[in-house]
Amino acid sequence: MSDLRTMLERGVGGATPPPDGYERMLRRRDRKRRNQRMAAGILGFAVFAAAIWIVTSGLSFDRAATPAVPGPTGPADPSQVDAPEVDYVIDLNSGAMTPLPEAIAIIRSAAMSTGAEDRFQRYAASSDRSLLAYVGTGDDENPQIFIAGVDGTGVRQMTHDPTGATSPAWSPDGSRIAYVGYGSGDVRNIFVLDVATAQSTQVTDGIGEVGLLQFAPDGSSLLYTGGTGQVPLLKTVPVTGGKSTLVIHPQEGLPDAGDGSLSPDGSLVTFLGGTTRSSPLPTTPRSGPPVMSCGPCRWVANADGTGRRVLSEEPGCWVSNPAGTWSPDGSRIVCSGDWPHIVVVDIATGDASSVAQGRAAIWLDDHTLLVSV
Amino acid sequence: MPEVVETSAFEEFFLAQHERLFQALYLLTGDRSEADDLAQEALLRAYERWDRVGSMDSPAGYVYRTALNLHRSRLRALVVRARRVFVDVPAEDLSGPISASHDVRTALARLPRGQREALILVEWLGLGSEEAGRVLGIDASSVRGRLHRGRESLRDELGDHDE
Repeated sequence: MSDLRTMLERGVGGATPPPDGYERMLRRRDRKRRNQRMAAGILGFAVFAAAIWIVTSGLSFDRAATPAVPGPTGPADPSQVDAPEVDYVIDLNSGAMTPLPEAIAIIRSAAMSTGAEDRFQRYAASSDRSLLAYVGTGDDENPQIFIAGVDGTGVRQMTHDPTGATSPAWSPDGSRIAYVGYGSGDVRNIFVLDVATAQSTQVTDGIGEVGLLQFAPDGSSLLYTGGTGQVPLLKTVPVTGGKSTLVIHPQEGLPDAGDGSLSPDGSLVTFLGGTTRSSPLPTTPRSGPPVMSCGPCRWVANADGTGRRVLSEEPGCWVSNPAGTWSPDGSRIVCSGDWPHIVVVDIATGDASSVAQGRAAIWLDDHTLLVSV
Repeated sequence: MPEVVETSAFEEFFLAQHERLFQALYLLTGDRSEADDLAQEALLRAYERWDRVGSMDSPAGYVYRTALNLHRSRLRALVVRARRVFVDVPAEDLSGPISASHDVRTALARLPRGQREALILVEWLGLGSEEAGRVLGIDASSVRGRLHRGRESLRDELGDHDE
């Protein structure tokens, strides 16, 4: 026995797990199943009630024309609105909220109960906004990538990863979907799926963590968050595979950076970065005291990492879904603020406002968000 | 979710792994309740997929990987929110007299996470560098590098306590 082993035994100090571990695990399983059944029941009731409402009011699901749930006449004040229990679409102009179509919501609900997915990157919209890629429960009970029309038609399971696939992101031309999976290996990697053939190709080499993906606007590379959970690093990798490149180098005064997203024209990148510098940081023009440190802050920079400035410190603009962070016109980003607020930030001014309640959101068009709860 | 699970085989696996996994996670997290929760969740996930996990070369490796991934996911979520709250708070002074057990866990906590994970997988759970590499998603040579640096740091830190 090595002296190090002896040292670790001293660290354990004879600690043993609480008794009845196996029985407690079985009770945990029962609780989990009960919660899943309750969630399914609540969802089923909500879907049933929505169906009754649609039938009795003679309306069909049409987000643009008629919201399924009437909202206020002006923009919603999220502090006055209860967070819906199912993922929904919100029109920022009218505040109208519409639950996702049943065909998507049921598959999504089952996946959420497993807790196996990236809670921020559950959805991605194709560039023409006609299709959604999302994480659902596959035919093997693992999380898998599905696609469907935004209206809930044409649901297809696209991946059959042995351990599970998450974090979908569409290519700009709609022909490919990047995702995080395991393939035949034991570690998470980035894969690219050809939508027409449903064939996947491994992109990264299995070294380090990967998550929060986005295709570059020209479709040639992927922006992703690597590094570690404690020190995330923003990187790019060619879609064809190869060496990853740091976008924000730790030696450039920003020890960590992650959760990045490129603007629609590829000229800017927004990301979450931390620094403890003791001099004022460059910010967007605004009133208020100078920003002295970030732990972390939301930044915007040129796509090569130069010219960075703090976009928003308060209210919080934390993790976002890179595949849908930027509004299609490139003027705003959406991110998760202090729970349960979804925050939209104006890139030019840094003005931020809470627009909805949920865990994460992506843009469907310049005035519509898909919010996951 | 498969309803039919080979309960006896899994129960045997559970009893063989539970305490060791709990202790490894206790060394990793320094918190008994967190270690117990992570061990329970990781073993439950193995139970739910036992038809597949049970036929793997190393079901224990699956459980270790799941537990480490759960721990990382929780850390990541916590770090994002905690960093902005505690950015200006000085690090806890850990230099005072403490018990030998706490001393070791404190020294472990001071190691970079990668070194800590490698040490626990290899030294506590008895995995080889290759298998630890598969669990951590890194090369075996990287595992050996982390082990070397981790051992050196621990010995430097705890040298006074070693007979």
